[in-house]
Amino acid sequence: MVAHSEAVPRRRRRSHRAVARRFDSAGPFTYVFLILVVMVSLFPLYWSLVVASHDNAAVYAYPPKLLPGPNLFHNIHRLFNSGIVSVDFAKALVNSAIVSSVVTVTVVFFSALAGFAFAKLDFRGRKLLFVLVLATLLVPVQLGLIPLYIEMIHFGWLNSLKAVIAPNLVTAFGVFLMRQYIAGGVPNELIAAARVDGCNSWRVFWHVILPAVRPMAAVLGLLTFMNTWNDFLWPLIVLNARNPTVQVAVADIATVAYTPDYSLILTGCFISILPLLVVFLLLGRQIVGGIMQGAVKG
Amino acid sequence: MAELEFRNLRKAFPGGTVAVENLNLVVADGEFLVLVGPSGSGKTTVLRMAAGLERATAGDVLIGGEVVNDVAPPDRDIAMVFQTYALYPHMTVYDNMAFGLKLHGVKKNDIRPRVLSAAEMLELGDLLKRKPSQLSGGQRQRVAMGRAIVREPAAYLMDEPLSNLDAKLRVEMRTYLAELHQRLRTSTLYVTHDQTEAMTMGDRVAVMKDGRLQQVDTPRVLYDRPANAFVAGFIGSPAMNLLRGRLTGSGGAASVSLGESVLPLPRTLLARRPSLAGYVGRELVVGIRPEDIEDAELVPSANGASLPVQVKLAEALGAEVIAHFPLGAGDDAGPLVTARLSPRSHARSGKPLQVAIDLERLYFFDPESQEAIV
Ligand SMILES: Nc1ncnc2c1ncn2[C@@H]1O[C@H](COP(=O)(O)OP(=O)(O)OP(=O)(O)O)[C@@H](O)[C@H]1O
Ligand SMILES: [Mg+2]
Repeated sequence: MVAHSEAVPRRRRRSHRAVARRFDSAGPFTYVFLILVVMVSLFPLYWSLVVASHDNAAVYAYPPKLLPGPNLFHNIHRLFNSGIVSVDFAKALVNSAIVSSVVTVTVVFFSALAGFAFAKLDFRGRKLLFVLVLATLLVPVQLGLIPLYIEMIHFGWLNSLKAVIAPNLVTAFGVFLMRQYIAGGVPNELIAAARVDGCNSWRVFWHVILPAVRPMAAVLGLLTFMNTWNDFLWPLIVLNARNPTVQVAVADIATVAYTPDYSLILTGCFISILPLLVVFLLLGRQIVGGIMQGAVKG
Repeated sequence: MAELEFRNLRKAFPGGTVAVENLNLVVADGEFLVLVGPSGSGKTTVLRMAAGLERATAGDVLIGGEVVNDVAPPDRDIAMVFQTYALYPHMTVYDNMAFGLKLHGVKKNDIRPRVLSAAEMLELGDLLKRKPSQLSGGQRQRVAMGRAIVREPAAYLMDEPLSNLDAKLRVEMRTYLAELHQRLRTSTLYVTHDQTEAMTMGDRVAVMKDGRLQQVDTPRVLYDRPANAFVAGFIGSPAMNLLRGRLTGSGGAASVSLGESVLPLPRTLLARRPSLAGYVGRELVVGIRPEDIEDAELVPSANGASLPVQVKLAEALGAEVIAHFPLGAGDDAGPLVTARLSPRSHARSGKPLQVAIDLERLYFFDPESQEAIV
């Protein structure tokens, strides 16, 4: 009798666990699948490391080299030595860092500012203006290249970083993202409280909205930094090899010689990816939930 | 410190809801005015218009005698406790309370003692370093209150600031607020659902219904001479019994029949309410406060009639017995009447009882207009 009454709850407990497993814990299939996805995504990165750490001949070797070789530091040395490579790769890295950081900061800042206005301020033409902003998303970037280029000529900004930064200071996508986030995520009462406490609109933005959008700012910042860092077409058009961004520099290394030096190119690629990883690690931490918790009742 | 005044104030929201209609109300300099009314009656909207958070559709808001319709909230020098608390989630309790002071240019050295003393009074001393998300509902509400009271503004607007506190804390905070008001004499407009708060804290009480002001007066007058049936039913707890009746009479005598029961009206009452004469032979609404009904055994010299009733439910609350019963007998005995009997009463659920009604204290209202008959 005793044994029986003990057995029942135990079996019930086990069946509970089985149900839980089905709904919220990963089975072996999930692991296998995810590992495959990670391997497929990581392979190009790994392969560029492999090529970057051999000499150029290794690219054509058969059977292909699958393990990193001893030449990585030698290739890095060649990359940064402008006696060997046609471009100043260090300068390109600094340029890209400047452009991407400035653009990221301004995009996040101005998007949040405009998003706040569209989401929470009452002014005439608010809806129409927002629709106009969204409509610019429909225009393909390529369509703007030539007019923008002519504009840059008029400003006399060709071959200057200004030409890469200025057209990207704020994006319609960013404004849209921020507007949606602020509209849904920041309670009106909180803004009202700040106003009563003595905030004008600017201070409301600074003291209430900016802290509130931190997670979304990190997401937008990540996307913007990545896009700007990886942007190739526009910098290629307005910059030259003496003052390039990283992508332009890598392209220059690839095209300048008669036979491309793949180990050098991929060393450039590999190095150009590292700053992105750092940015991911820094900003990724800011993407947290529950930032508005405790602000209003219920 | 300043007077706060609303003149012909109206608020219609887009979509057609009229939240406030033709409000004329003055919160005198240094007065504590309590605003009560059922949910959705426009109390919060009035406060928001006073704060400048909502623009009036028509009419004026005056602070210190000046029209402030076009003055933005930060320049109105008012402090508000929000019904939903509205705390800054990324700031500590201390910073939540200090924020408004900083923005109003109070010196750093003065901020600290002000915040600390308010925190002490509100029993928040140990929580100053916490964020709002780490607080209970009642604690958050006290932070919201603290944020307003440290400010020492021209006027306070408080939207149900004690609603989420437990009974003991609520009593303490009530006393604290009363003391604070004694000391600072800051004009205060205070919204509450709580009868006790309304009756004990307010110099005057304003009753709203559907966006319209029903009556504003001292708690005593509101209780003794409600202007209409709504105020009569809203002020007092348990609520006044409002029953349909018919006035009959001839010569100098009159009586009112409520279903099967007939209550003779004292001459003194008729003398006090001369308009009643016009209702002879007509229907009217009779109001009986639960506290004006007593167990007849305990009223030896009942100046009212003693009625036999069948108690449906008797709730012994210790200090009183709340009894519910129809005035008539039989199956179709009419609506239930609530009575607040002495704890010595022998009222039991399902048992008969003799009750005495203090007929001097009956209230009468016009069945159409609901206005008090005086
Ligand atoms: N922003 C708004 N848009 C449209 N209608 C609104 C808005 N705010 C309030 N109302 C309406 O106005 C009326 C009054 O609302 P209000 O919040 O002032 O009521 P209240 O007396 O404070 O109620 P409670 O006691 O529940 O807090 C309600 O009918 C409400 O639905
Ligand atoms: Mg309200």
